[in-house]
Amino acid sequence: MSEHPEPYDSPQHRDETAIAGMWLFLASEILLFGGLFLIFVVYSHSHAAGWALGVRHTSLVIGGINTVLLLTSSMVYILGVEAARNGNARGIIQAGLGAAALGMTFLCLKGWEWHTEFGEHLFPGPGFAIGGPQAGGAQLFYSFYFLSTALHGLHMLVGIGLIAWVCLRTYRGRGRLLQVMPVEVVGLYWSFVDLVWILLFPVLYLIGRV
Amino acid sequence: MMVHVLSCWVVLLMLLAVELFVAAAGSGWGIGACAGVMALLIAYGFMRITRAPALAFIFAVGGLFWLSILLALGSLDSFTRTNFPVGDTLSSTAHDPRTPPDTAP
Repeated sequence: MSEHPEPYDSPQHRDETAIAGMWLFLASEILLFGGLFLIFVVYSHSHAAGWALGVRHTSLVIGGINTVLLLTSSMVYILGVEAARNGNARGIIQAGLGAAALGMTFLCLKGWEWHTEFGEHLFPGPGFAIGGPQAGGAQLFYSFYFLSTALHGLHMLVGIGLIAWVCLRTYRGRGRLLQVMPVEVVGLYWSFVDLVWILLFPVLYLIGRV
Repeated sequence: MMVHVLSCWVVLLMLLAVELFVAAAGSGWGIGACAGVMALLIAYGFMRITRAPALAFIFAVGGLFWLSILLALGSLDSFTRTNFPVGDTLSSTAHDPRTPPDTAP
């Protein structure tokens, strides 16, 4: 972003527009993930027994560890945003790399979990591992599971790419005036990805176990 | 500010522990409440929604409003239908003799 604020009235107006623009994008993301949660609301009610059977086959340990990783990653990146506000370029890069590494660890664990589930024939379709009268509900759950974790994982990849971009532009811009707003806007996106997982975690791992 | 962020993180981890404990105790509503509080804490502590410009706040509330419309209207049928059941019970009931089986090729 240039220091010249046109077409904005002032640098503050420019920054507020950037923040509001990201929130507008996140509002559209709320509706994207909202469709997924509608699937959960309807089918966990209409196919309750099969849905719960599916939930009981997921790995609570991996889900729990991933939740801690993502919460920590969000916190670390916000420390980078604070570093940007204090003009600390080194702090931005350290926090960004830390947050991205935790995000990559999350994706590796999720990939391992998927690998295990494919090995156990839990992907919906012919040869699905769960049989009996509740097989249909369990397949519906696993359709929801793979779709939601794939969509969330895609958002994670985009977020890690954005964090890498922030680190790179901060590194290249050493010695010049720091631009706080790109760091802050990416932080909003990264925290949103965390927030979505906070709501997906109980739906995928906990509620059917009750 | 760093203390504020770290405090939020610690509270989030504690809420996660409570959520797992509540799940073990068998309370579905407790799980939902924990997840809701955690989501609010992220919006407040990490995304700083209360310090965002007014327009951003309006966009966030608008997103939640349309989400509630989506969930309410989308789930209305399966929660209120009374003329015939939905879901597992539908697939497990015997064929209605008044409805001939589909014999089309």
